[in-house]
Amino acid sequence: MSIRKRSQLEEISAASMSDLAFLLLVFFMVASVFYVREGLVSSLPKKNAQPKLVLRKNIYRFEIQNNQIQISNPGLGKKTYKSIQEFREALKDEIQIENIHEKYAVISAFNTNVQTLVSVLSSVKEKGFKNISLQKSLK
Amino acid sequence: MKRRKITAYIPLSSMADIAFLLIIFFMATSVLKMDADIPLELPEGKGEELKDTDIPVHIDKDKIYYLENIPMSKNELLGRLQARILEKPESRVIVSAHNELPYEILEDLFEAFRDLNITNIAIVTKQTERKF
Repeated sequence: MSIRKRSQLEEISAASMSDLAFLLLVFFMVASVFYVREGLVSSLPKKNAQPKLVLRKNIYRFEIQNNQIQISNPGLGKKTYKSIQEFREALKDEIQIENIHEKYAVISAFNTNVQTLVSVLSSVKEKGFKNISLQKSLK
Repeated sequence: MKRRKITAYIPLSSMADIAFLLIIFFMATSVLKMDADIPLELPEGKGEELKDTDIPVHIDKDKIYYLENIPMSKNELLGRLQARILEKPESRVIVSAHNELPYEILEDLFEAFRDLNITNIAIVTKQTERKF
């Protein structure tokens, strides 16, 4: 019996191509790093905003001067901290403020740098204050 | 005559097409945003994640203002920002200021923002790395 030989097309196996492609995909996924920008989000008051009247006992003043921070409040009295670290620890652990969401933090800075302000602002936000005001310094 | 055995198989040749298509898709759609070489040391603090759609303003340690990495005077910056905010009022201006700058620089800038009714702002803290 004569068997007719089928013409065979030569083909290159492409099965490993998908392995290569996925390997590349995984490599780039593992090796790539995203830089995420973080920041302290604030809302500035509007130009013609009316000043708000707040009871003195609800105001906590944070005065920064030459990297020294003072907290004052009628109930709390005055407390002074010589460094940011000391201030941060005290605010976190020592100072207890009830109903902090209703309280107001007023930060005033004089003769200080951006780093100190950001540290104080960050600590005050972390403590739970929702109403934070930056007071204009007297030049 | 001996019958030839036919084995079933799934054709995998299209897998490579799919994988390369995925690579090309991610390469084409991803945007690499790199800040130009502005010498800045950002202050450290615990902040929240900011969006890419925010308007970046930089102030370097020589008190030079940059809007999207283009250096300019403070007045020019404020003029351009006002136009941008009028166009997209929901935009947030994110300020990256060198950590050793005097605070008064930021204070004056915020005062000017207030006059222009730019109220949605953020002070950028140190950027963090995130992996997939």
